[in-house]
Amino acid sequence: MDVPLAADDEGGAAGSAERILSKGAWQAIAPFLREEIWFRELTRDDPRMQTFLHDETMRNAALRTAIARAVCDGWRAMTRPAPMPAWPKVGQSLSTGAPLPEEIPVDSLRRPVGSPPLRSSERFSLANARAGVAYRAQIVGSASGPLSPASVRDVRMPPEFGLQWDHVAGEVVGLPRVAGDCALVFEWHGDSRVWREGRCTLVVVPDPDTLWKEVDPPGPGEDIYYKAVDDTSRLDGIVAASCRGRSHAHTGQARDDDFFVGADSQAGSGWSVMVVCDGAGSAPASRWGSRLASEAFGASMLEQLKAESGIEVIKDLTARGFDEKQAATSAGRRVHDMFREAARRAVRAIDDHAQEKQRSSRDYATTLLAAVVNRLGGRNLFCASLWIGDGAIAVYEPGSHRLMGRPDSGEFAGQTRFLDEKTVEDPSFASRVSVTLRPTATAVALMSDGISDPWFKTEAELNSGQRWDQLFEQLTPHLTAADADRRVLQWMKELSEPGHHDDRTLVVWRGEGLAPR
Amino acid sequence: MRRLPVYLLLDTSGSMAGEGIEAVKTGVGTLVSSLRQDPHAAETAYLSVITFDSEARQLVALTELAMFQEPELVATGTTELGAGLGLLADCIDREVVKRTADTAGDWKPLIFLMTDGEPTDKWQDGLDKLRAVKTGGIVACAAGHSARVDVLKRITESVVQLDTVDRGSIRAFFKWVSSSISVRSQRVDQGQGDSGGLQNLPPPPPEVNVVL
Repeated sequence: MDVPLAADDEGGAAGSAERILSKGAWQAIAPFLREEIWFRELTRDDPRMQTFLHDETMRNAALRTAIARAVCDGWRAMTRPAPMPAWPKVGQSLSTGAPLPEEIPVDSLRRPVGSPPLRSSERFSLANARAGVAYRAQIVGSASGPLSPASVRDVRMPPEFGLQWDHVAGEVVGLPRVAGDCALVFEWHGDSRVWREGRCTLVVVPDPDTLWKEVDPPGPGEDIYYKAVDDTSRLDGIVAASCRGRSHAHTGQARDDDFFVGADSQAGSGWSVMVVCDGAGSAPASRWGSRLASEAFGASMLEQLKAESGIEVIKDLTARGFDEKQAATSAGRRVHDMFREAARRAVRAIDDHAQEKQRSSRDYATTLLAAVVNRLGGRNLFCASLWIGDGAIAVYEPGSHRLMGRPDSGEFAGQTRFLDEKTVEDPSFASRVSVTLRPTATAVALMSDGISDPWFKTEAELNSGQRWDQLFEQLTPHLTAADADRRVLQWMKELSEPGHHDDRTLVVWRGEGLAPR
Repeated sequence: MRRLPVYLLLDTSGSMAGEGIEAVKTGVGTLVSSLRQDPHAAETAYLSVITFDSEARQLVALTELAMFQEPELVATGTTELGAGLGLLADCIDREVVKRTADTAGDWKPLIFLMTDGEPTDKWQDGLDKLRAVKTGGIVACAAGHSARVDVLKRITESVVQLDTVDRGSIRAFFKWVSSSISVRSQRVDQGQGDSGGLQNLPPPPPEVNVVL
């Protein structure tokens, strides 16, 4: 039996609605209404409407009556020229906002709509949302678990977050626009079938990308060790780029990385020298240590390679009918001695400077990666490298690469070695030197860990040819461009990986496609 | 991605009831919301909460900061510190990824322990378990003067003390924990390593006294 409508100021219209919308009529118009945007809009904040929309049989006479009345209200509202009023709350007429009569019972729930909500000890939670990331989640009760759509109604939340209640799914949905704590108030019922008030806070966390700041480091007048945040260089076949990481930019610190590139173009012996240094973040003046070390080391290598010892190496490698292995060993020994001499000079450059400034040499701690390359008149490619600390050096050709050593790192990340007297004079120094002869090699690359860590996430990837191929696939178009150094700089700045915002330096020597020396 | 695991090991024994536990709750909340504003921490820090009273429980498994939800803390029971230390060791062993050829590995976990009373169990057993796992530093906080500083000193070099177990000092402690996590996450991001005790953390505020 239908529950008669109470007389109120809307009584006449509602009464006629009841007459118009008999059970059969309801069934006829229900599918149509579901498709109507205005009807969906009209009912979106009212769980009673949703219950109706999803109750095909509409057995609940009382509800049907309430719906019928609301539909009439809606129709009137639609035909009105003025814009629709703000959505009324549960317990108010959808068109006028006037309180609905209290005697409309909803299903078997004992508390009528509109009466003061009961408090509950149940605690509710919603999964956290991320600003800018689509969100959808159910309210979860500490005892009752996820709340079904039918057990939640009248969900209210501040509109500025861009989230809303999807009563069909029983979920909070949307694309959160702003970060912050979004406080929800709603009504819910558990097994007791009594509507109670529930509250919970939805935390919208900021997108970390939006939190990074770009703060200039102290200028040349304020910092005796000032250097530009970015640096690039092009020299014969070498492209070098170095940039300050987001991490340093955020806190207004300088770039700790540095590099040196040089080529013996005058003597025409064909030697190229490349050095990448990464100043230790824990050392307060390491930004200068990396500069002193790379310059002292690079200059020393160039000088030695131009002199007798460099010529001897070339002789070893180009002797008529030479035994390749023997020649490489012999050349390797010579280059090893040169590397050690250059490393000593680099250590001395730092020590002398530290002494002059009355500071500890440790304040200038830096890693050092170096490679010397010679094309041997185009017949072969000789590369020798020195590897102290983390980062990577490799000789590359498509489909094949040779990693020129192992990064100094331990079981847990962040353990590395620095250039110092102990490292240079230790017998293990020789194990840091690698030499290779690869006639078909096309490139030699040196990079600081600011690039090798995010690009090769594991040691396995560092050894995998595929990852090196992918690297050169990305780099080659930049390396061959007229403004190769700027393009490589841009590429490395765009390389984004959470938790990897260290300074980045990449030096690449390419053996083809470049202007002849 | 290399995560920076952070474990909060909190005493929720009966003596913490009232202002103490409420201040700890607020402290955890503030800690999380301020770290979410720091891009270094927001990307790398993962947080876990372990409590100990009559038993030890991991209330929040190691969770990325963005998805962390504050646990309900209730102060009741005794002070089974050893159980807490033992569970902490188990959780670190299970949750912190070690570096291998195929995995990047996490940074060493940073641990903050807070207690206000005398341990009621054989805490040495738990400490032995904790010694077996690698950590990137443990900071122990003695809240008030009932806490056994000598016991904490056995656990870690880095012990701090609050003169009183009140809202102000607990808030100051958690604020300092928050900035310590910020600094550590920045350090690891810049490749400065994940080891060391107090000397690598920011100086504590006046309410937090370093116990030498």
